[in-house]
Amino acid sequence: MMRRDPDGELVVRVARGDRAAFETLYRRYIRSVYSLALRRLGDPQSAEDAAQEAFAAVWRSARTYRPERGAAAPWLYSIARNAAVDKLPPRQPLPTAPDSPDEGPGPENRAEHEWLRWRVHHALEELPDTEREVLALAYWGERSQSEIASELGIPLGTVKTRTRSGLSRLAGLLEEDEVK
Amino acid sequence: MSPDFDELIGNGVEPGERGRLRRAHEALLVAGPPPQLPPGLAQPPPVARHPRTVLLLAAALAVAAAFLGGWFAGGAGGEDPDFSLAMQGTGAARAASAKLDVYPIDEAGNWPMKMRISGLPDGRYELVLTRAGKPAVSCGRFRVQGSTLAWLNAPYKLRAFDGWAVIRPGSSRILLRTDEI
Repeated sequence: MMRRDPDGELVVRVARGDRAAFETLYRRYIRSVYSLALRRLGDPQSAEDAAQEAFAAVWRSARTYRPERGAAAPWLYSIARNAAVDKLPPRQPLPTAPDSPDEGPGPENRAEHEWLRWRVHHALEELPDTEREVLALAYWGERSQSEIASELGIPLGTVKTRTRSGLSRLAGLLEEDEVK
Repeated sequence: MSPDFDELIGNGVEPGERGRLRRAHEALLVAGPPPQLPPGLAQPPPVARHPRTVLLLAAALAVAAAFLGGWFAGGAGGEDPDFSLAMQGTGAARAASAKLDVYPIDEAGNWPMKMRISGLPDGRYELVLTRAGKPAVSCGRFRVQGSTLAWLNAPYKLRAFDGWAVIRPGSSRILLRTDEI
């Protein structure tokens, strides 16, 4: 049985010219789109342009989206990726042999990480603010749970509860993506 | 420094749920923080009706106007445009805007156009028709100096395209596009 895809329903509405649906889709995905563009391009201004181009393309191309062929997230992802690629400067010719062994992740790993990053950043937008806030402070603010409790003025137990429920909700959203 | 999973979660979580939480934890570590959005992305880009709809409607209006004009005025051309479109600057030229007036198609199949443009740096530009949002064919080049009025022409069947855009000659970067895109 096909699972419900709220984002797919939004894209279908955008195809009918529904501006409210377009705005909702924008708010749900703009951070993922901008994040992808910024990683690819490395320049905030180009990334901003690419993000705007991506959403202009969503508006133009929504009629090409076919829900029966798959969920909206990968469709949006490919539009965002293409918009970023379009902004890349022309490629330099590759050297015939690398000077030193490349120890970074291979293209397949990079693509997997990019897709995972897209999904995580999108899923974070779906979390309640209270849960997103404690996760952000714990993971990227380098705060201990006691420091978070003190900074937000809430009991330590509440920080722990929010952290756990935030991670659980995030896991659920990522699992949903996998079965769509 | 990455937060310690066991410290975050504590004890008392059953193994199955612990595995789920750990996958989410590892996904967060791989993903890293989402970037701060620049102010320019706080609002979605303005959109109106779909461009193809607008062009089809505009073309239909133009045909109707030409027909009615011919019917009532014995085929004499009027001075009013058949339809007008607003153009807005993209992220590459936020301050720019333009109004594009499209006049009745002539017998040879040309659509004369008048464009009033402002907010672009002085220099040479090109008006193009777009297909799938990308520059497709040229409608002519013009020079901008302050607020400029340029006369241009589209010798094409408009229904094959989805809007107009302004670029610099030789570039595919869109500086302005019709409001609806």
